Amino acid sequence: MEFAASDSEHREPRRRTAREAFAPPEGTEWTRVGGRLDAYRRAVAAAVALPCAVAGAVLAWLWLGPEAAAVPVAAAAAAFAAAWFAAGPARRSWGYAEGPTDLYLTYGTVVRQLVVVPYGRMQVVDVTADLLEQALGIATVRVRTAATTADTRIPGLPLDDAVVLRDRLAARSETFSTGL
Amino acid sequence: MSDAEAEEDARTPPRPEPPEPPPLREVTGPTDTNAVEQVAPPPVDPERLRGAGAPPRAPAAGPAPLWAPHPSAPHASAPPPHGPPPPGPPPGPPPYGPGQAPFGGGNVRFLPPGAPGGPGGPAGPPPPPGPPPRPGDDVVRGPQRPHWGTAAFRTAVATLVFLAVLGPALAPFGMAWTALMALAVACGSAAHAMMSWWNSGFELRGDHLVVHEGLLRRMSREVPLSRLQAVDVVRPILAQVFGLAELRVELAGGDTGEVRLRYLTRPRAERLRAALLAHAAGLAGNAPEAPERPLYKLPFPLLLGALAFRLPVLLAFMAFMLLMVAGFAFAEPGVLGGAVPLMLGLMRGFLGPLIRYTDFYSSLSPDGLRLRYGAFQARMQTVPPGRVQAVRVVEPVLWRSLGVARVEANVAGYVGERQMDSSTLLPVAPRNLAFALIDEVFPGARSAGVPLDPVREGRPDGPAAGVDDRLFVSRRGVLCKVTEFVPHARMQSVRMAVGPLARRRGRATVAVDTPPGPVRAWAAVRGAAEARRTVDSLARLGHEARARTGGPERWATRSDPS
Repeated sequence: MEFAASDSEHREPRRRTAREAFAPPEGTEWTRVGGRLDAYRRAVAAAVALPCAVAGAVLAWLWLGPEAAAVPVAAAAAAFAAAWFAAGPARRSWGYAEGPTDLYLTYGTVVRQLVVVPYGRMQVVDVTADLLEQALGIATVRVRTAATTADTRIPGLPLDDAVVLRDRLAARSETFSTGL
Repeated sequence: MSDAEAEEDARTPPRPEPPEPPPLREVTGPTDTNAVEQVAPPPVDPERLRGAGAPPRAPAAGPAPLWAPHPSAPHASAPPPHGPPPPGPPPGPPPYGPGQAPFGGGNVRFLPPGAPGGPGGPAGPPPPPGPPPRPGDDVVRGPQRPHWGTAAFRTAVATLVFLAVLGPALAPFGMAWTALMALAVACGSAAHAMMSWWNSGFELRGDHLVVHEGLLRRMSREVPLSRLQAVDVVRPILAQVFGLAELRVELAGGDTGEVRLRYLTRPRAERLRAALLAHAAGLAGNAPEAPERPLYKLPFPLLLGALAFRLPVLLAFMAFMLLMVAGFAFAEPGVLGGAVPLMLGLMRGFLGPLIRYTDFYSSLSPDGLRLRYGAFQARMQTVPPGRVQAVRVVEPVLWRSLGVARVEANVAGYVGERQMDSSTLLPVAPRNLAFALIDEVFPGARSAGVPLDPVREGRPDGPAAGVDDRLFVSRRGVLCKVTEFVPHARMQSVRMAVGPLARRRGRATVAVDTPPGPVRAWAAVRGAAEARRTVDSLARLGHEARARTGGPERWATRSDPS
């Protein structure tokens, strides 16, 4: 296997290239999002997993008997555990950096993404917080451009930071504005 | 393909000595300023219109892109305004336009408005009879109402639909009853149509178009014309009978970002179209229709042949014939279950485009790219400069042997169902012409000359990506080759992604986001480092391009190539 060989051989250089490829722009650092995003993700996972486990268990009990009820519960528990442990790396993968002319954004653990949004292309910058986010005191900053394909948001920012970031981005989008 | 080829081909079909210049200057030279002053006492600024002392521009000589240099608003060298006929004897045949285009122009459905003896249509009330135009007569001044024929047209449509749908069911009651019912429906719809006609109107107010309509739910919209994305004049078959046309102003606002004026007489619709585009270009509203330069006329045999000569169409047709033969041979009606969907698919994939793009004709003007096409539904699209966000050239496998391609574009106004309707710039055209069109749409670009870097070593024809100082280019597809072009000035955001599989294969993906449309520009590149280099250079080039051009608004008042 050519690929496997080259993979083990070049693992270290490859890691380095990956780090360089997803490095922040010159002269800046990735601003990482706060730890409360973990709690949010885990709470959401629990809110999904718990009803699924209960409903699955009840249905399995009724149709197949009491022993079968353990299967959906175990599956939901496994999914919840996966979400619990994935929350940390997923949160650490989020980062944004404000370059001189563009906003850089990176996220994703399995599929790593880097998005570059020019300030002049931002049409709307908004801050949203659902009930759970409000309870945790965090918010999501979402940047919209005329393109609909890019998902450009920064979750898990403390509410005050989010508002400040929104105002800063909005002001910059004004200075760099070039229409459509 | 080399540049020279592309350029040459761009010139070949429609360039037998530009027909416009000499007669144009002769006719309009002396009366030009005169006419302008007569028509519009207050708002005109001849200095601005003429472009600050620039000499009258030699129209469209040589390969210079018509859109690029705008310092002297080319409108100025055009004939006098059309709405009101110019004073003095009418200037013979229209001085420019497809009417005397090199192709004989017999099939062209839209002649320049106001051309004497041109496409009359039933003259509505507004076309002024006398030479001195009174303010208010012109469609660009004061509050206006759609043509009264709209009410008649709507009544006719409602009655016809009623008869077509319920006629067979009513037939047993006898002729008299059916006629009576139809009459009742006609009266009811006539009353409704009259009232809604009376309640709808539009007005060109400064640089804004104000539209109000609605009977129960009144709606009033004010549209800043600098934001318009495209202007289309559409004439469905029934409206053609009445000599009416619909004017659509496309805005970048999703599915509701569209203003439809239904219906105007055709000369008025085209006059208003010219006025809207002039306002959007930053000229005075009574600037005349911009001259145009023919680009391409699609011969019907080529359209027919190319549409038929595609793998899906041929395969579907063969399957259809096989099924029918088998059905007849074995007297088995069950084959219809397969044959009918196939036939429907053929109608959609073959007959639909064939009818839609009959008489396709495209030309370039300072107003942008103009497309005219369609037999049953005649359309005239105008996409102003800078409004095309991205372009792709599609070459199905069989078309490559013919050397033809299809060109589609992202235009911010064409979204939702209009995307399918309107986003094709050239349905079938020689490959070189397709690239030449891209160079015209994105001034300064050399689409055929962008160096492409293949992803796989030793596969120069395979998927590839390239960046030069104007364009991001991506080519992919095995059977159907798709080449995408996004100019840096129009790019919204740039993304790169590396998935586990791609990482293993030493690949990464670079995507350039544009407003929605058929073009979704992305390319696979060799490795994450390469992808990052591409992303960084795209971000830098995009910033430079934006700093250079500003926005696409009021394109005639600026001199930069956008």
